[in-house]
Amino acid sequence: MWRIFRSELLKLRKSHITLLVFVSPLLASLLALLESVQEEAFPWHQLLATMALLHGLLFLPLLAGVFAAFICRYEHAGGGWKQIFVLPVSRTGVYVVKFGLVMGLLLACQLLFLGGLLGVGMLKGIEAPVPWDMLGRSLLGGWVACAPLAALQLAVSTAWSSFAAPLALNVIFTLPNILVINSEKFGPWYPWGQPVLAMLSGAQDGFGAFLVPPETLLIVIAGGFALFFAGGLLYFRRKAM
Amino acid sequence: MSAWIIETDRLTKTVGGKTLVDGLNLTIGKGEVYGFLGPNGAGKTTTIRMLLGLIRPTRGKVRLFGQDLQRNRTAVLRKVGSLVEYPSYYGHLTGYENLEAVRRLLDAPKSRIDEVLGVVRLTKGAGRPVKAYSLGMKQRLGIATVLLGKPELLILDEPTNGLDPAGILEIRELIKSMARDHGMTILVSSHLLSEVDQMATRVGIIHKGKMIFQDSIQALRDRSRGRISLTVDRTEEAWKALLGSGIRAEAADGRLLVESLSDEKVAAIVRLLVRHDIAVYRIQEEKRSLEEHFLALTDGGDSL
Repeated sequence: MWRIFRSELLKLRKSHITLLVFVSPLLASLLALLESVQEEAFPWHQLLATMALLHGLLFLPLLAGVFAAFICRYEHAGGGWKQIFVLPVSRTGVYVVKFGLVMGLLLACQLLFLGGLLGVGMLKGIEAPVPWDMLGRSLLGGWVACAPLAALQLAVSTAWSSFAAPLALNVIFTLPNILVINSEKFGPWYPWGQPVLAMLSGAQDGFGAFLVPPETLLIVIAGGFALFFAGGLLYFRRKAM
Repeated sequence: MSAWIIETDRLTKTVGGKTLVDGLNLTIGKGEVYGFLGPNGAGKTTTIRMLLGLIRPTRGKVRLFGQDLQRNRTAVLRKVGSLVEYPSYYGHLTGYENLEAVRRLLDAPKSRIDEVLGVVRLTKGAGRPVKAYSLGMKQRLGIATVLLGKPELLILDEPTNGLDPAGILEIRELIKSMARDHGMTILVSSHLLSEVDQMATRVGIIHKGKMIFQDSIQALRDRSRGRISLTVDRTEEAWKALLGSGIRAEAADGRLLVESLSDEKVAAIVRLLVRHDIAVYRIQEEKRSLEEHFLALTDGGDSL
């Protein structure tokens, strides 16, 4: 597994995909900076809500798809799959490592987001102590909530040799997010909406699917992840090259 | 345990009701250079993909190094280097980095990269991104990749496809030296007999998914040896005279055709005919090239 990871890392590092990690935290931070300062009882909560909305609603789901597609792109393009599978490595190992890298990139994105949030807070002169507990839960929650979506996108990206098709699919399903999460009934079940729900589930003024208790959300996420990941892996192991 | 390095048992692949490979029994012994021949679309690549576990056979089994491929895939593939169809590469990486990516998977020593680059003479271009490579360079990079893990068995699918004559010659020499100097067992597929003629010790000819010939290259040569045509005045009597001394000839429009024989045997035939008072007008050898024989075996290469 370690061998596969090191090989994948080399391929990944040399592609420019890693730069995309910065996009969302930067945009979210800029947006938050432009927002006028208001006297708030919970300034950090308010800041998180402002930043996480764009990030969780739009960028996180999009990036999960982009990373998954990118990590398969150079394999599809140059016959890489074929080369890997005639080498003494297990297909399961390759799939797990690929998924791990997608999640790793998303984690990096979350950490940068945290950095951006703290930076904006400082620039705005928020004096209240940083609520690490709340921030940690939100960011980690958002990250974990990306897992089903990342698994689904990875499955699609390995199955389709086209780079654009999985991305298009992802965009099409990400855009209705804003509507879907308003529904208490369907919101939690929607893989593209789960990241923002998880990131903002602690917010007081909840509406729609935000009213769903975090425990329920977690169960749905875990179930979705297991389903998509197992399905993708099963397909990948049998895929004819 | 069998002595075969590659052994397939009634290997069959059916896709959408079409049988691409049909009950193939392919055997390759240690140290052999096996020419796997057949016209385009005969099932060569499909067979090779099954040999490497890239696709699953519909029926039949593959054994490599005496072990079942499905059960011991990774252990077996460690000893195999293969190149299927076109060479695989990562365009955004340099030649060196491409090798490094595979080296990490194989856990081979780092020095091995420079070694294989030297073998395929790609040391100079190794620092350039592969997307700028010519087809010949990509092919050489592919072969370098194949050699990284010091395999005991090479499986090369049309390794000279798309190369210029100099490139073809170079790859051919490389394959020969791999067998000679490193004792590797090699399977090379091609749709041209002339390509493997000079390096193969054994050949298998596949046509429409079926193995129609599998034997030493010498046996193929013997089968395709020319015939001696004798033009005589009394064909019928000459034919009987030859048969009387155990030589089976074929009579056709005033000529007798006999399978190619040694000079002494031809001389004996002539003596025999003269003794029977039969006038011999002409003795000709009808040469049939190996390629013609191959084409005849495969229905004149009807894929062309």
